[in-house]
Amino acid sequence: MHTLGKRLSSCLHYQHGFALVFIITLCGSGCASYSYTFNAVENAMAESKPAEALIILDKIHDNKGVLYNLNKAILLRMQGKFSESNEAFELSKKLIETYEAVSVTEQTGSFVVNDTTRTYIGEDYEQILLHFYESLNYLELDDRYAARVEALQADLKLNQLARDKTKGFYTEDAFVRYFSGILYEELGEWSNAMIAYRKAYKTYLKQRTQYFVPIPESLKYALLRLAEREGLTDELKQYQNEFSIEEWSSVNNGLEKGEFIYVLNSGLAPMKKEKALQVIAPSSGQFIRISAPYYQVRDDNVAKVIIHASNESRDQAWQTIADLVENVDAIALETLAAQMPAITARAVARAVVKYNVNKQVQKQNDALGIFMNLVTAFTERADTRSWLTLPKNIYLARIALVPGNYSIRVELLNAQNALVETYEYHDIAIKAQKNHYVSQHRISTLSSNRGGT
Amino acid sequence: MLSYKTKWFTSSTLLLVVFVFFSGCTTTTKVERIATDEVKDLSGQWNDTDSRLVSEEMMTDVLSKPWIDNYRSQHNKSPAVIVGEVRNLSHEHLNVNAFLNDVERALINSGRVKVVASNVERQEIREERKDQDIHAREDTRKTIGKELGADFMLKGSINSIIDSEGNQSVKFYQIDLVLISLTDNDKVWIGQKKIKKFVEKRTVRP
Repeated sequence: MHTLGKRLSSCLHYQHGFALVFIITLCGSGCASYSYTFNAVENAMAESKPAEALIILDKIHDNKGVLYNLNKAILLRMQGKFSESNEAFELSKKLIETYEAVSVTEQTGSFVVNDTTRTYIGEDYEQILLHFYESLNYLELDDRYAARVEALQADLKLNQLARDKTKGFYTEDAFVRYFSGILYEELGEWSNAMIAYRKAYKTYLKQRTQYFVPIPESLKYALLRLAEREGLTDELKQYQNEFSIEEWSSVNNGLEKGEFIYVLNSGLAPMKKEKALQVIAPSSGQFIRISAPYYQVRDDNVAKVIIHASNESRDQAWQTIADLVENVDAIALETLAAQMPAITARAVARAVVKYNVNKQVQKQNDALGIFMNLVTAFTERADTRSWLTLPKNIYLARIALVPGNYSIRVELLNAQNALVETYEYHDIAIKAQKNHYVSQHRISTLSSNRGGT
Repeated sequence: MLSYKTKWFTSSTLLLVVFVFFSGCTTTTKVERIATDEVKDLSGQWNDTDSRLVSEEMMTDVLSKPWIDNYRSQHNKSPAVIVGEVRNLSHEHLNVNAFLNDVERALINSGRVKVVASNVERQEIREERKDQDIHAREDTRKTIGKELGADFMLKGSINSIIDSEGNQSVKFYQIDLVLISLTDNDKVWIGQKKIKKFVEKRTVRP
């Protein structure tokens, strides 16, 4: 029996060795793990240089597909370029619609080459969060009705997910529902707001053991306010009992005020890495490789977000603690866990196909057999694609303020309650019955869990 | 029987063909000019045909109703209308401005009503008038305070309901327009137009 090493060395003596080098180079360039190539983008993001990150992103993406546009949209919104960001989101949506039909060629490729042959159209949670960020962009551009379109599109997609029996646990997004409710409430669409808040509440309750997000305090008050406004007496009593809250500001009181709404996108979503099992088959000496993705969670040192608001004359001040509203880490991990049986099955099927092809080729020509074995093993790569510029956690704060100009100070604290960062926003003009949205992306420079292979 | 070299070459070529095959096919863009009134539904979303047909039908309706003659008999002049906001409450980022332009065009071309410039347009005209005040020859200068005030405002909304199952969906658009008297808030006309589309997306691609 030949060993792989002996056969490889003899193979290199063949005059066609250059072809081997060529093909290894060819597949090597295409097979580099997606997440690995992303490190430079992340580093620029961590240094708060989104424009530089975008230049790097352009360089590493030959294929300007869904993933490129999703990442581009986040990097543009980090620069305050909300309209351009939405153009990228809209392009992402068009590409998703084009490629969501199953491709026969790509499916075959995933059983023969690897899972990256399939066009990436985003995970369900990524497709839903796309609507949230586009909506947030419109709100920061002061276009409520365009933001409302996004809320409706998210609703449509979530309803489709809920009806799809093949889907796993993520068929509803509590935060996206909550955010839609805030928008409807601002537009005076009380019943729509109530429905959205109620869906958010039920989802937070259902998912809290999986996604570890407690019911946001601001949602509790919103439910009480709207249940009272809609005359839902029994439901109001139920919320009072469940939340143990006796006092809240009514919808009518709120009409004289406007809300300052702060969204903190903290840290970065987990990164898919590759784990591979490599063995040499004792019977044939073939080199067999099976690879699958796993998530590596990134560190973030924000544990608490405090918002201070003070009016122009600084004689009045308000303070609130932002709620953790979305744990992207948990959603991503759970999504991959649900997909693992199918990913593993495809990887094993590929190994069998590759093994048999190699065996057939080896029968015809020993050197070519080795060569084929190397190529098939080398192309066995895990699909590590994911929307990497998404945050790890999303925090949201709401402060109802009387009309006027305000200064806002946001303090980010770590788990030991030590201050890690402060943001200040001045001349925030609050108008009655209008929400003022401000969002921030923050990537911890202290993160030690970035980079990788 | 094939020689070793030939077999080597054939296998390598085959392998490369397989790689090229999986790396995706490129397509060239094909452009074909079509008539502007030709109906071509591609995605099932609100398009130029919907905008044109809805505006034409609704404006034919508004212009055929008695409010115009009532106004004329009372004031002995054509009513002036301003096109206000049409809210997009649908699932799509549809181009409301294109729809408003279609509505304005249909009203003006009827010759039965006068259409007043919109808020944004008026600001621009006023800027120009201020500029004329300084730079234009006196006999060509347009003075302020002579604008035509609108008698009625046309406003409304575009709503949509989407019912979908798998790759099939039914899209239902409802366009509601209302004409309100600026004098006394009297609603003199309410129009409604509905569009229903059945959309079936492909489930398999090459």
